[in-house]
Amino acid sequence: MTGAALMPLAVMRSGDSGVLKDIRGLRHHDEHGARAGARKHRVGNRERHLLTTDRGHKLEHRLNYMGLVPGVQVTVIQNTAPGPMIIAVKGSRLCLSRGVAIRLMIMPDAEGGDAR
Amino acid sequence: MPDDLDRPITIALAGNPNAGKTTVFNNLTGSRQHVGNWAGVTVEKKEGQARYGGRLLSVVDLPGTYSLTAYSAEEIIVRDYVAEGEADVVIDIVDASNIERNLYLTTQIMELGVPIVMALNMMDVAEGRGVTIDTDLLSELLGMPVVPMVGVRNRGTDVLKETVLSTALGTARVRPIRVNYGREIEEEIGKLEAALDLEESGRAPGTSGGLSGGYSSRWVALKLLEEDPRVESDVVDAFGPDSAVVRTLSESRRHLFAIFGEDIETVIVDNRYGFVAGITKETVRREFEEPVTTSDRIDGVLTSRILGFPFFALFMWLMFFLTFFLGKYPMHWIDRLVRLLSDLVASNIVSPAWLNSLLVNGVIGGVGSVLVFLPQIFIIFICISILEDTGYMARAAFIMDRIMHWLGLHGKSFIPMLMGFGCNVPAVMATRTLESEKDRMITILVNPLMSCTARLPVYALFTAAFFAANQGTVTFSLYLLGIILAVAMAKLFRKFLFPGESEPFVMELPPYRVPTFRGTMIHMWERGSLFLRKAGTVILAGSVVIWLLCYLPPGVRYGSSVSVAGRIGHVLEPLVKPLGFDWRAAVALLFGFVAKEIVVSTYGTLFGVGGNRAAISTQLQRVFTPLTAYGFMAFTLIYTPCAATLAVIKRETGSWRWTAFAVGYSFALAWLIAFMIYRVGLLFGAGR
Repeated sequence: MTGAALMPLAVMRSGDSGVLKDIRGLRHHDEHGARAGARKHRVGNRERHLLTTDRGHKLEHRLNYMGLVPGVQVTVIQNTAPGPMIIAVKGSRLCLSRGVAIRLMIMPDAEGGDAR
Repeated sequence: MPDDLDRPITIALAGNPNAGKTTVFNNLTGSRQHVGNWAGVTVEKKEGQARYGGRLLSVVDLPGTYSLTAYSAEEIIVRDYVAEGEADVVIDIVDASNIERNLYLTTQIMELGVPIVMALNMMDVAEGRGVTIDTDLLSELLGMPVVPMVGVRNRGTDVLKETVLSTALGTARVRPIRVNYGREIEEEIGKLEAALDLEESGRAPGTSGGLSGGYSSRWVALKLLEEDPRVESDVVDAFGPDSAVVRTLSESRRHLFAIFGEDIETVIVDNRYGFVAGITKETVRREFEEPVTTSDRIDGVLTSRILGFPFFALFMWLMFFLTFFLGKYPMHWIDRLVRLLSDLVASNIVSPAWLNSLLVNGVIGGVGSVLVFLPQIFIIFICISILEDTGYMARAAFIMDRIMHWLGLHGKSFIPMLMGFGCNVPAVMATRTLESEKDRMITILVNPLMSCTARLPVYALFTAAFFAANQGTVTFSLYLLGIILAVAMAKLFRKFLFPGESEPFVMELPPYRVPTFRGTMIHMWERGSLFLRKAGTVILAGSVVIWLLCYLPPGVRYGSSVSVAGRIGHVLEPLVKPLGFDWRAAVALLFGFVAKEIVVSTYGTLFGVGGNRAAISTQLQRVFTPLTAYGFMAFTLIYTPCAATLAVIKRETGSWRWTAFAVGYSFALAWLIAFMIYRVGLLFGAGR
């Protein structure tokens, strides 16, 4: 395992740990704030004026505030496919579906050294 | 300043889910609680009262959230409520064993600029994990009082009340801390604040009064940079898309994006977590690394690939066993009590005759047949409360997630479906935990297909009359039928009515806990009492109406073929004839709309034999065959949710359209299935 490679969380095994580096495929950068005007967009049930589009941030926010932010240490508690995974983040336990786990890119800890 | 001794002090409880907020709420308010809804949304609102130091404290339990984004109704409720200044003090309940993640919410509440007191709960769990927290330093670094607590042992409650009181009265020193977002972002925040204040000139400085709610300018500025859709939309609506604020915002965003090369919100989130990390580094000491906790070890078994499902099946079986077999005894006692009461009233309140009939046949007959099921409902709810309080429910959702996903549902849909076996009323309410509207709707719509305890008396009666040798098997087959249909309809709805991806499954697994007797009882009572209240009012009213229909026109034999009820039955008969049913079945099913148990008592009435089950049985055998009896039971299972369930569906979905749809589709489905059972059965020479 080369040190520079990022692994999707979904393929890590029970007991592995690493640092979350990126959450893939949830947003795309566009001309940020280049538009000066507002456009109508749907937010929930209503049409609202927004300056930017809602770019699917909901999931990312959720992951964020449940502790999954880039830079955080993640340990796999259980990964028995098929089915959701259980991971340890910031002292709590989360379970994630594979569809979510596959998007979390982890820098695995060096082999042979347990964080103790 | 709330120094007016008569005015109650309002306290709001905020915090992560699973941080023990409910326990603290219960400790503060005891049984003086009231449950309602937040205006306009189907989120539960709990209020209660407490007394301390001669003052009345009004406590509001805000929904549990991890953050204050604009992406869920719960978060919006919390931030609006806090910003509006309704609460004199906010108690932030933090799980000490999980402090880093919990503090994220704390920083957000702090930014709303209200007096906060931190209740550092679950100190015992933290201690068990070898974690020690310097609460004095924590208090200093955050600028708020910190009260260590162990909610489940009711420790720290008085200190909490004391602290809250002194904070509210201004006698405690509270110095709000500001998270620093770095020079560049702070600069832009400053510019935005200035622009906002300019627009607001004429109003109180430092608040954006033009926008609804009492949000501080700094908060608004931060949210704008974070691209919070709600705040953005409010700002544009309030000041116009070409206002100075909006232009400044665009500038700021462009500028910051150029500097950081990524979304500002990421930077902001990073800064918040950085702030939190800094604080925990100073204040939290871990004596030993415990990467694998006892909870994990238990999970190793209960959620393992090999043993997980069998254990799950075992727990489910245990639950049903307790409900049906244990529940039988109290059921018989209540049955006898009701009969006693009925005889008592019948012989003592003899005149006027109509009153006698109303009380005996209408009220006691109708409501009594429902009351009999109270024990089973409460037992099922005790079981569910225990499952939840121990933390196992989350594991069950985890285990069921794959299956649920295959059905087009969410893992969390499992819990309401399970509750549906007890009673659909609280089950539909339990769908609130589902975040995706689509998942919620589908779960609500198929929930009534989970055979609730109300349908049991119908099965009991008919299986005894027609399938005496195989009662258990036949009843089980009906449960299975319900589940299969629920699966099929869920898939159908997912495909045609609510297409789209199911909400991604991210859920916290709280550590296993030993439930307290008190806590479990409170939870059981919360749900069971819901059934009592809804059923009590709806069923009582329905029973009176039914009585009326059977009694009129005056002079006819109660519930005979020529009473109003009978006549209605005859009118409806053509509808059910193709299914092999007669006019009495039509009446029974019609009245069953009120509560499905009433099907049985209606038959008693129609046959003129009252509650005599044996007599009803004999009579049934004259008008049904085993085939049509099975079809009837299937029809009862599937057709329209009972009135109480419909009332809850209307409340949870907020729409008459969907409620009508629930009635319509279930009716059509019931008819179809009963029809198929009858016709296919006839083909095989099985009846009449």
